[in-house]
Amino acid sequence: MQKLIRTLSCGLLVATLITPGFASAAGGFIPYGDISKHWAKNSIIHGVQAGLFAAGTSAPLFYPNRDMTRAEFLALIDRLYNGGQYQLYPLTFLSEHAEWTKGEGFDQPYLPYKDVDRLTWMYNPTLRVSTIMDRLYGPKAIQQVFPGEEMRPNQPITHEEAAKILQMFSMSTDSQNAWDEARAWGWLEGEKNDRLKRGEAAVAADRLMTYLVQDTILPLLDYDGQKFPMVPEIQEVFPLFAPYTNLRTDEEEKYVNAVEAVRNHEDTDETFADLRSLAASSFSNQVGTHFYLSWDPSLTIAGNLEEGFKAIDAYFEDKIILPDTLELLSANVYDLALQLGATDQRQYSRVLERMSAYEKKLKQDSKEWEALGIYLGALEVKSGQMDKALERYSLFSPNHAEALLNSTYYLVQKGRIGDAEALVSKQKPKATDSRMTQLTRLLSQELASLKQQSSIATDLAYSLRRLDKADSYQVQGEAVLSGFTFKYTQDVDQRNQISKTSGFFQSPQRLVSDKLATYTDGKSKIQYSYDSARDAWDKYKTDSLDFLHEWIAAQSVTDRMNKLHARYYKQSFGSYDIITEWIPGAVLEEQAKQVIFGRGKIKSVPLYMNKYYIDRDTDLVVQHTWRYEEIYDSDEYVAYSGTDSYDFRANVKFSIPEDVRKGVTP
Amino acid sequence: MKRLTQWLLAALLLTTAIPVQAAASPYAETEEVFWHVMESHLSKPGAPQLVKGALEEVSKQAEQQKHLKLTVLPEDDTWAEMEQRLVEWQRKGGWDSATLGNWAIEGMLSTLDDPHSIFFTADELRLFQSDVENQFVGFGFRLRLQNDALIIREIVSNSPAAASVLKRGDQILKVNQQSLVGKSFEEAYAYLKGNEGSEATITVYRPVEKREFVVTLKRAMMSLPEAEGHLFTKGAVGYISLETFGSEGAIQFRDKLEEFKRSGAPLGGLVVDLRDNGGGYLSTARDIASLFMEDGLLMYTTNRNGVEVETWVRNGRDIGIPVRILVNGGTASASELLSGALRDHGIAKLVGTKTYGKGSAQQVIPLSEGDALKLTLNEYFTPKHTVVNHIGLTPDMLVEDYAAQVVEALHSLNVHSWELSDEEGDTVINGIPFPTVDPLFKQGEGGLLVRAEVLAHLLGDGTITEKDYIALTPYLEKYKTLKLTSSNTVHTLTYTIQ
Repeated sequence: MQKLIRTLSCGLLVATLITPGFASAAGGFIPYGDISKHWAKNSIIHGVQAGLFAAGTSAPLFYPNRDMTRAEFLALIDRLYNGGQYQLYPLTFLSEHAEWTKGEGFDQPYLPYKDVDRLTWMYNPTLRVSTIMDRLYGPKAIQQVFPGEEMRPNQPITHEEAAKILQMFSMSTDSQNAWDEARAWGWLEGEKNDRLKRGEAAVAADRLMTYLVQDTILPLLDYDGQKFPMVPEIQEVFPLFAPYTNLRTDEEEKYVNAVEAVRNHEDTDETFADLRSLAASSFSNQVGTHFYLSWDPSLTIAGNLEEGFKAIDAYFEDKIILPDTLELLSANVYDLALQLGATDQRQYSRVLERMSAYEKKLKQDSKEWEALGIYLGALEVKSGQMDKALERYSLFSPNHAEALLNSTYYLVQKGRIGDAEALVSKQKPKATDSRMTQLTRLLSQELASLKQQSSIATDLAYSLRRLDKADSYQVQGEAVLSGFTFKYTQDVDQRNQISKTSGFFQSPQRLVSDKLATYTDGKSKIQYSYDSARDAWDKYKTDSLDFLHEWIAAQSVTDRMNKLHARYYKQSFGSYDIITEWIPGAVLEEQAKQVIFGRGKIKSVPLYMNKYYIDRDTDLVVQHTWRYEEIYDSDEYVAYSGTDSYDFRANVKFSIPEDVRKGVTP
Repeated sequence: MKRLTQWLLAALLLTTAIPVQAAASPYAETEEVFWHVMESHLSKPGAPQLVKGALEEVSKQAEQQKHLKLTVLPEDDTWAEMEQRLVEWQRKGGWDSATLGNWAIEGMLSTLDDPHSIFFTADELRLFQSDVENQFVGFGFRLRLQNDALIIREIVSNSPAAASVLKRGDQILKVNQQSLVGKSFEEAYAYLKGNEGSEATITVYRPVEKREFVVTLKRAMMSLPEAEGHLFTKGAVGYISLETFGSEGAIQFRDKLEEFKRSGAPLGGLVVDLRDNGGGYLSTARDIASLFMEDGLLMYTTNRNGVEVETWVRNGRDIGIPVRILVNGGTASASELLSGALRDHGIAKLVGTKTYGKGSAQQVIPLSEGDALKLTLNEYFTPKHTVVNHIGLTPDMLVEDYAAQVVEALHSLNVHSWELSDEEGDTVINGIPFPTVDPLFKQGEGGLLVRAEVLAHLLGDGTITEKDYIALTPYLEKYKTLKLTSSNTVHTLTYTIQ
């Protein structure tokens, strides 16, 4: 059977995949009749190209000097978020497929305002921004920006209000600093109480787009264990490696056709036969010939790798300095190494050894040397030589974003936060280098939070303990487990160690929802649950662990931080503190490999993250949002996500009915 | 949440998946219907009931069509047994499996005592959907059934009917020699429908001219507005009639309200006409409700498992003016839902006759062959837990006559001045024409007669209890501000409350 065409799967294309989807059309036109002499012209045009502003016959003018209204600004932010939502995912948990104006469960979200109505153009954009803010900062967060029952959507927005909205993109740790941060990032330039002009909003949006396509907001956060070592994003994966005119020789024609075929996934055995004949001939473009032979699906990966190396050999024979070409060729070899390494770790050091041989041919600190070096470093990490990699990355981290990122990340991994801070603080990027400027800023912000890990963990532990010690409370929740949607109210009486759940659930295979009713007796570790099909109560023991997340939940925050390497991030917004927790899957797989769960042994954990919303006045957890993905040995895939809201003032009073205990029909 | 997953797990284990579709079986679709009905229908039917219903229907058809005796055995009570029997009977009778399958489906659905659970072929499904969206293939007139007569209540602009001599108020007597007199809506529809581009000869009676004539029309595809409306010429009252709750209904309804607002004078009331509106999408009903209230409960729904769910209207706006909803026996489903909710919240009063009583909600389930099953999954209740199903809503103001319903609604909105006339088969009330079978005026032996019920509601005169028509003259004398003007056989009645 023919192997499927190899894709640059593992490291190489990840950056491309996560690049936000701002559509960009070729410019040159001026979309409005009133901006040609306006200072914000370029930003307005960028905005139109990215789909942030509507243009066309129905919108002939932009009115750049008019005040922007609150609703207009929210609609703009909604579109910006749409393009850059991946960046915020680690904090929102809202996947790009979430139909979040419909709600993730049964209840549709709605606005806490009386003057933004459903059947208006502004409703859905405003609701979406409000939903993101709720997720980031807790219930009714938008009222921290526009207080009261009325949003006054047609009122001009001030710079300060705009800054409070914009802080969602800066992972701000304290809403008090929203204004300073928006200015420090250069998004806004006016005074707090100035009205934001439409032209100024376009400029802010333009700068935000640049910001969002660069680095992720928490550059060191590797919540799914896929990110490090970082390698550069490759702009063009299938170049010709040489210019070709329309007047081509037969060999050139053959080559160009073969490239075209690989590019379009239309390659056949013949494509590679042609390339092989070119490789055997005196055809001058041997770099390209061997590069494309490394894509031959009829070869083994090792065979592909061989061709990948031949392409690099050919590159050095040509003696022309093309750092981008060398970068692509190295990326190609690295990607093949990842595929080999996935089944056999030892392959990394073998590939590393061969790659290292090229280093001698290059001048240290040259662009070519960096292009190769970033992959040598990655292979060193993969083959367990982290110190070597660190040393290498530190040599060119001032000029190379990925080198700086990797250096900082692995220093932190080794517990050398001080060294990481020293490294970042000595960076002096040129003002024109927006990527390095942004990265340095983000890194120092994140390192500051990394230093506070144990104090954040203490705060979280305190609030969770208060939850555990509360005499009673009520939970309102919605959850999705493997496609089943649940909505429930749970009464918890901790003095008597009993709880009661009622609500309903919807199976993905059913058209109608079903009743959810349980009683749990913590003393005897028994749960009674109602089966509506039989109209009877069933008994289950609760002293075993069915899922990995139950095992994690049973551990203290300190243990999660120290043993499970949980990462924490704390933000303050309005009256809430929001603590986000991520636990890397690799650690969970390692730590839990001896535990046998009801679902079997754990195989991998693609995602484990929690968000706790804590009322600063009472230190009580008011809401908890989670998203877990677990794969068990049986290949069973379990996805569990949801949101619980806690009410500690609810009047919780119940007992487990004798009828239920006896298991008879209620 | 603590220990939820324990329970979730139990739920997962308890819930058996729908059996994988038996791909190659000729009765795959019948089987799909069987499982859907058994697992989802509101009435929780058991397998024996469905199997019996299916086999009895097939047996009945076999008897009728080929005088073939096929005995339904009481021990057949599972899908497997039913399928086996169908295969066996198919061989005996020599029918194809599609015919037998459709009979079986028919039989299963007939056991539900639920006229709203229906099997649709792919073509019927398209028709159903275009119906909800107010799209039609047809001649371009819309009918109303009054006293067993099918009356053209509206002629669609840019339609074949609009290009012909047909007028509002004309009565359809025959289509292609098939008499429609005394036929129900559904029967008439069956005779009138046809493919786009096909022709038919229609015999028409025009009551105003007391003559019969024949027109030949070609059917075409038309999309009709779902909401239409005007301002009454007197009393600053708006009128919006909603034909169906399709996907455009809420937006069109909103636009009408905006239009009224733009017209200047503040509205003193709104009449919403939901007569003969058979419903549509729930989401549209909710969106329309949001034009009346800032927030509030729209309804409760329950399903076969006893799960009760609340549906809320959020982020709406208060209408701020008194509302009257016109209802009648053709007001069904989403129309009843909206009427019931607005009444329970004290926003609207209902005027007219008792509504249809369809308090159930259906879902259209696609089947593998491109056909579909419309199945009743839920029953709903108004915010005050009023049962609608099989009962209907009784209006706050019970009024039988079509025109008198409008008069009464306006009356209760404190309209003081009136102008009523007959025009091209319509009764025109304060500038808005309403199609009626019975004209407002009639020439009697002793002078001009007028519809008794209209007059009674106009004058608020409880002593008028006559049916049909009564002489106008005595009332012109009794009520000073009641005046009649006549020109060219057009009579106009004006009245002012003092």
